[in-house]
Amino acid sequence: MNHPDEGTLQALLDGEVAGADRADVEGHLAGCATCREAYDEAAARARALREALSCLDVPAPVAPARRRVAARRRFGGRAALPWAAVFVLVAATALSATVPGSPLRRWWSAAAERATAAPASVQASAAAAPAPEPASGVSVRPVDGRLRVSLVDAAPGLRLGVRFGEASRASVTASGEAAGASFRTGPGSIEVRGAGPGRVEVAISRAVKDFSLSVNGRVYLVGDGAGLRVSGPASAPAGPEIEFEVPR
Amino acid sequence: MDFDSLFRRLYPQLFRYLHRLTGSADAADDLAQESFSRLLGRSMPDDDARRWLFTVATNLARDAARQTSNRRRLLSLVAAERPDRVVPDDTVVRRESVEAVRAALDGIPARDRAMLLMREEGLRYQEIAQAVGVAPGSVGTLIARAAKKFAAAYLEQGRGDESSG
Repeated sequence: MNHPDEGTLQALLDGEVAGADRADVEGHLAGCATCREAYDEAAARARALREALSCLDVPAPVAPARRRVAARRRFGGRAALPWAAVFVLVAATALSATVPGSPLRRWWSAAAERATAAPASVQASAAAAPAPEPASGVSVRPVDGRLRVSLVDAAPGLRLGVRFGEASRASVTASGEAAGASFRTGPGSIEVRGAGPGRVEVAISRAVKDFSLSVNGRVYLVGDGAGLRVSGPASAPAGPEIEFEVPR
Repeated sequence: MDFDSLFRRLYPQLFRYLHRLTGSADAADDLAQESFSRLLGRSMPDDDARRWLFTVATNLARDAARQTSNRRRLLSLVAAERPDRVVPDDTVVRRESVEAVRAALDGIPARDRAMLLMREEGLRYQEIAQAVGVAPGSVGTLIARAAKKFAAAYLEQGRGDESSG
């Protein structure tokens, strides 16, 4: 056979040449010092590359990532909200104690008391809930404690829930008719574009000290050292989340 | 295989690929999560799922890079996070090696980088071809040339370090 080209030698090295073709190439290498040298050089490069790349590697955060992907599933439907409430009440209580003058402190404290009084029923409800529908979403790490979330071209009737979590990352998930939204992330920012009239959940991480939420160019919620200020169309608080609905 | 089993098997592989590709553990985690989230609700054989995940993750990484108008800025953010999270800062030699490998990877074209790294994760040529949109018959040649480019960039990096030090 003719001298195999560099692609064929690479394919042989990578186990991509089989059967009679493999026998042909190996037979040629056995009798051609030039091609044998080229093959050995390619093998040496592959070994060096493997060794070099290994110094970059860090442990994969499998368990946290699995929890966050699972959370996207859980928060995809209404059935997941009772579970979310159990999670949120702890974080909300902690937050209410650390944000002096927060106008939401009373709401969240009351919600926490209600939920604490009936934890068994909440858990049972969560256990019996059907599997929620898939959701889409993203998460980012706040930059210098700052997080900006903006919804652009959000549909009228979209429901928007904001809660505080203990995770180090902030996240936004969209479900129902909002699940088709597109997401864009930047350092400390998340943009959600084109959310339909479904539901969007914003989970603010513990690292956030300076937060703003805007919808279609209008500021709905601001949080900073001076406390939390609601300026959007918030519905009556029924739990430890702040709930908004984009005007129809 | 159910989703949990698939996640446990493929997430570490996808994360390693993305971390090597982007140079950022946070970006790798974000992109891997996003890829798996998009897999939710889909039904496909395991082998297809691996190819599908790597294809989606590669496209997401490419889109993210495009959205970053100043790539230097991103790299500086990544570099800032390394000391406490990414690089086990045990020796100066190791840190310099990491930086040299990173620079060499960043110094070759994005498609070459993706193909080399997918090959390292054990993807078949057919899978790599579909993920980056090239003819299957050209993958061997493209990988061979990409490996040469990486080697040259890595050696060049070493020469630069020597001349500056």
